[in-house]
Amino acid sequence: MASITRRAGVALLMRSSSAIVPRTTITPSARQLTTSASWRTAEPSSSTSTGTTTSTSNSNGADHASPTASSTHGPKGTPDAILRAALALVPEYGWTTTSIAKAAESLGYPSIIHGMFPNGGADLIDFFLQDCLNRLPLELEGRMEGLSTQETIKLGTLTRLGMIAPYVDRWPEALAIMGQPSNVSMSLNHLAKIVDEIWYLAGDKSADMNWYTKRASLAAIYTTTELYMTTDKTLNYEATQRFLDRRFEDAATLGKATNDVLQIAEFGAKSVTGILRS
Amino acid sequence: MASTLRITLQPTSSLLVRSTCQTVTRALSSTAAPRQASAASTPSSGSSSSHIDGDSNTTASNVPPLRLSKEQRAMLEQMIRVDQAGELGANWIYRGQYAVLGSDKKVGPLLQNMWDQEKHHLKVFDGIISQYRVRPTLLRPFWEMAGFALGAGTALLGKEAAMACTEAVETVIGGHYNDQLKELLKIDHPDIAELRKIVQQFRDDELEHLETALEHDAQKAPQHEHISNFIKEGCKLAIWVSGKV
Repeated sequence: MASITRRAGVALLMRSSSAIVPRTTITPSARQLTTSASWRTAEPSSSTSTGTTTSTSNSNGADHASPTASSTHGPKGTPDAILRAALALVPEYGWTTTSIAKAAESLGYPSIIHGMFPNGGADLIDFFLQDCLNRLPLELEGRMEGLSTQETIKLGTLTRLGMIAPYVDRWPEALAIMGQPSNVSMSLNHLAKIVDEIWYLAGDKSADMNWYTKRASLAAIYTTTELYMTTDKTLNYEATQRFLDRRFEDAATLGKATNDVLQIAEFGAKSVTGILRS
Repeated sequence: MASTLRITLQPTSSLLVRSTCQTVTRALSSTAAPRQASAASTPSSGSSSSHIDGDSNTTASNVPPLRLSKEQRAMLEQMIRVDQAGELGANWIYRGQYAVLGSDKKVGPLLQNMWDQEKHHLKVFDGIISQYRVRPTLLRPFWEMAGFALGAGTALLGKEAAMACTEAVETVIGGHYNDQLKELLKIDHPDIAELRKIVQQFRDDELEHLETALEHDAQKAPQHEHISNFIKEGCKLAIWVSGKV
């Protein structure tokens, strides 16, 4: 049964990549599958290509057991579907290519399809972080009203940290992967998006240097708390919440200090103006 | 959940009103390419067909959300960032000029007027920055200092030099807004149409300043050519830098 699905899956891939790959017999060990360079560069606005390739895969006949070409399993939805299934396997197999391969198999694709994700675990982490970012505004809808700014930020941070909870045992591994030089830009990008989203949902409308200082301070708080959370074994992550509170107290003190420095600079500027006027 | 989704999907129709309103404008950014992902697009496509009308903040209930390609989004971000930096610079140039020439009977009130208009421009662009979720320029303190130094410096050279500085800056800014209008015409969406109107209005304001400066003997400034060229090149450099940083 498994061999039938594997052969059928290979046939599916052979059809869609026939323009690129010469028509040789593709064996599981052959690394010639280059259907898409990277799913990340797929433009959301290019819907026409999705339509044509979906119809091509549909016309392969009804006797193969690969997933039907529904909206989540079209050429653009397939990578996401595989990675989403892989997330369920992370607690067992970690943020690795093994998770992706096993997830692909569970969906009926040949495990070799993990070649679509050249960065392996990093691609899975990238998908997970993007998914958390998309979920964050939905989970915070309607819960931010009537709270002070600090409370909204705390709520946003805790909500985002809560999304890691299912994977917290494997999170140090993820942090290590994110810290690798080739992945650092990806992880910093995501961190920037996280703090921007939290501040935006808290109603931040700053358009000057405050935009940067707010996000930088939240990024520092977020990363330290995230790291602390991986060692937290208390119920409901009580210790993490208290840790977060303490970090916000620190930040408040820092904020006052920055204000003083700015005040001194302002005095300096005013005296220069006075001299010019005299 | 449904009501808040409705808010996230209804794009704004009036930028100036929005800058003071609390209306969530996630429609613009959540459907912009960098943030689009399958997880977000499924709820949005599902509920856009069932959004609840009667939101008092929006006038058109069937305005589609603003969908931009990556390049368009990047272009728009750069444009808005540069505009804000430009208004900031102009603001501080006038502040510097007023610091020196504010007491002058003829030029003082004039500078005050032009400065007030620039203050208004800056406030509007601050609102646009937060509405479109654009990163503001990191070099803001630098532009403030440079603008003040330029304004005060040219004012110290005399009234005509100050007017020449204004002439040069407004020429560059007016031309720049014009180029942006050409780019904005390529995107067809009511929100962008609003932005176009604002840019057009501001372009006309800046050109008005230019004419005022010319009326007040800008051309008679000492070393007019050199001042003009120097300032124009400086402005172009500032525009390029603040687009990136």
